[in-house]
Amino acid sequence: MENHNTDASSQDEAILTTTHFQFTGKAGEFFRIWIVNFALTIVTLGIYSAWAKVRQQQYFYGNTLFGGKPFQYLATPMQILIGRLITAGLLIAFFLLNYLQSPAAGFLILAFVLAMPALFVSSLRFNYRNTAHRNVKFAFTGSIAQGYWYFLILPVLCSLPLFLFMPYAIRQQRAFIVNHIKWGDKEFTCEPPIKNYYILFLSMYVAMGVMVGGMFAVTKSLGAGGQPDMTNPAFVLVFLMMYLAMFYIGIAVKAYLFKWSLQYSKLAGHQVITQLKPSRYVFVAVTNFLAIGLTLGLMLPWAKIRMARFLLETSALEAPANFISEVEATHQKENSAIGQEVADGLDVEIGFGL
Amino acid sequence: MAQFQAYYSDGQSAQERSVDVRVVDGHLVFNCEQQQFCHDVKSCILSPKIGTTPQFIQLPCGGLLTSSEHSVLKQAFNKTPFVDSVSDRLEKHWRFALLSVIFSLFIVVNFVKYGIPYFADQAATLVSSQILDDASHASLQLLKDDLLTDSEITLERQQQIAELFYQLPAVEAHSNSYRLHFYKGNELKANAFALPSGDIVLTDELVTNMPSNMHILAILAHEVGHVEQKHGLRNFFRQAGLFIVFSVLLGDIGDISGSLTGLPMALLQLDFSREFEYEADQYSVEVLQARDLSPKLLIESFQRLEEIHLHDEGTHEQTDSKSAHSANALEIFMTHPLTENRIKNIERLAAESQP
Repeated sequence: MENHNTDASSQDEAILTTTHFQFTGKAGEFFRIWIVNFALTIVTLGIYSAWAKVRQQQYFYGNTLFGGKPFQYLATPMQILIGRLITAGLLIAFFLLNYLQSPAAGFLILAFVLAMPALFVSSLRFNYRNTAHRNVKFAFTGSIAQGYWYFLILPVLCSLPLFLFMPYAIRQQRAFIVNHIKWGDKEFTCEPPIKNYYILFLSMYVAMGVMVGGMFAVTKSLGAGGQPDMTNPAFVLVFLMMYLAMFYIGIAVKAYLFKWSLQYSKLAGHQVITQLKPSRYVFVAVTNFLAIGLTLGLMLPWAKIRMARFLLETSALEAPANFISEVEATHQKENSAIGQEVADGLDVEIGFGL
Repeated sequence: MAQFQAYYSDGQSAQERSVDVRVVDGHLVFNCEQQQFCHDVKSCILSPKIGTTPQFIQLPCGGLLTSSEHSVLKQAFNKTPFVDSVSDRLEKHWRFALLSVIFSLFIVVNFVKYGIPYFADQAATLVSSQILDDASHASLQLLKDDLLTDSEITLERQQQIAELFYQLPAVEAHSNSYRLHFYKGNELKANAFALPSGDIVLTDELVTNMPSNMHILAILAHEVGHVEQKHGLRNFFRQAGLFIVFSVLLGDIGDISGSLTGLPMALLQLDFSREFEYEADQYSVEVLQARDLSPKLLIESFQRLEEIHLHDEGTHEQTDSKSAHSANALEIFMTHPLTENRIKNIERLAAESQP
């Protein structure tokens, strides 16, 4: 922990202290936890996966230190198991409906899409409620209604005129998430400048445009009349390059979005600091990807530890020295058991990337 | 008397204080800010031990103790939940990790290779054909709307081919489920395809380019093979199985799971697709032989189809041995096996059945 004074003009302000994040997880240790849990999951026909998830989360939380103190993951395997069963049910239903292109399927897929924002907010609530630091819980206070606004209505409205307002929608989504996170009674706020998002998305569109244009040119010059011919090595090469470029752009965008979510965030008015370099993030993500792919997944634990360390050790909070001890727990009204379940949300893990 | 060092936080604020906890007669005793705490161990909840991470003790008063002195904690709380104690014991040793690697790889590889196809094929026999028929008719309608146009083949020729088609043993046996359609393929070019419902489509481009009706019969037999062996449904269940297995296996990779699972999944799906083509070829060979026709008909029709497609793409160059070699490596990216490999397979099948 390093101390430094603020500038002379604000001498009455308390001395600011930079409290760092630290990650102490070790690849070898996590590998053993991961692979043993994987094998146990197979042996128990998937049931153990809920216990596996909790143990792995607890490992990461327990190794994430803020000011030298660990985080705590509070969810129980039973809660995770329920969420997983629901997810499995949804996946199977989705797959069946997708295949049987009947009109009823269309409605059910629509219902599924309509449920996504609610599930997403529900998962955020679940995950923050089950996170604690120094025995003070986090919370996510965003409502389901807001979820629908930010993750359904706003993106649709913004995509209407040629996706012109999409960067605005993305910015609002990011700000919405951070602005509704609380640690005890202290609230996070996040106001990233909109121009960043426009610059990022315009460069992304240009890069993609150049690529798709180039792709067409190459296809034409190879003379296949628009029909991709996978027996032609030149085609395979072009496709591969295209795939890699898309992959690269996707990661770079993610890196910037993540960085801004931290960089423009404050906890009760105190600045969150990030030294994250997007180019470095891309490097870590791409090399992780290669390592996982080349070892048939065996390097996954190493990659996860490496990414967690990279993300956490570039982050810190700048606040007065006594700030942390002033954070007070809030005691939410105790609802009935069922009400609690609903309010806590379910961890329905639906990756949007799936 | 056991003793351990811990941090205490009361659950009211994020303040933490270092405390020395003594374990006395099954009680945790410690002093903090001139206040003495004494809790029965039975009323406290110890979090499971995960690697070397600190453990948390939830106190009945809402407070929390955090400590890394695992061995003392283990003694104090001599009962740990069964699941967590087993997991921790296994996670500690590299030999169990190695065993898990071998076991997991063995199970996963075999499940993907044999398990999924087996269960998918079983499932395919259980599903009623009504849903499948509806879906097939919907797809055929889509094709008619977008690509196919009315056939320009003379009714007489259509009649001749249809007669051969309805004489195929499987078609004769289930005559009300099979229907033969003629359409001009346009963008689909010289092509024949079967829908799971038993609707089989021949394009004009294919019909006009085949040297004889018997060659068309060989192709029709191949398509009937797809229907008879329920390839549409089996393929669906296999893909669903792959999808579920992959999302379970790699669900926790997070941001890159899509791109990482996409390729192996696609390759496996294509592998299944090629397997079905070989199966349908075999079916065709059997049908031809039963009618005392030569499997050469099927070979010749494939060769003819390849010629047409190469001609359409404007590439007239002969495939030399080098490009054939690279094409062989690229077969893993294709839905159908390479024609030369199919021919080899048909020749092998034909030779096997010769006495």
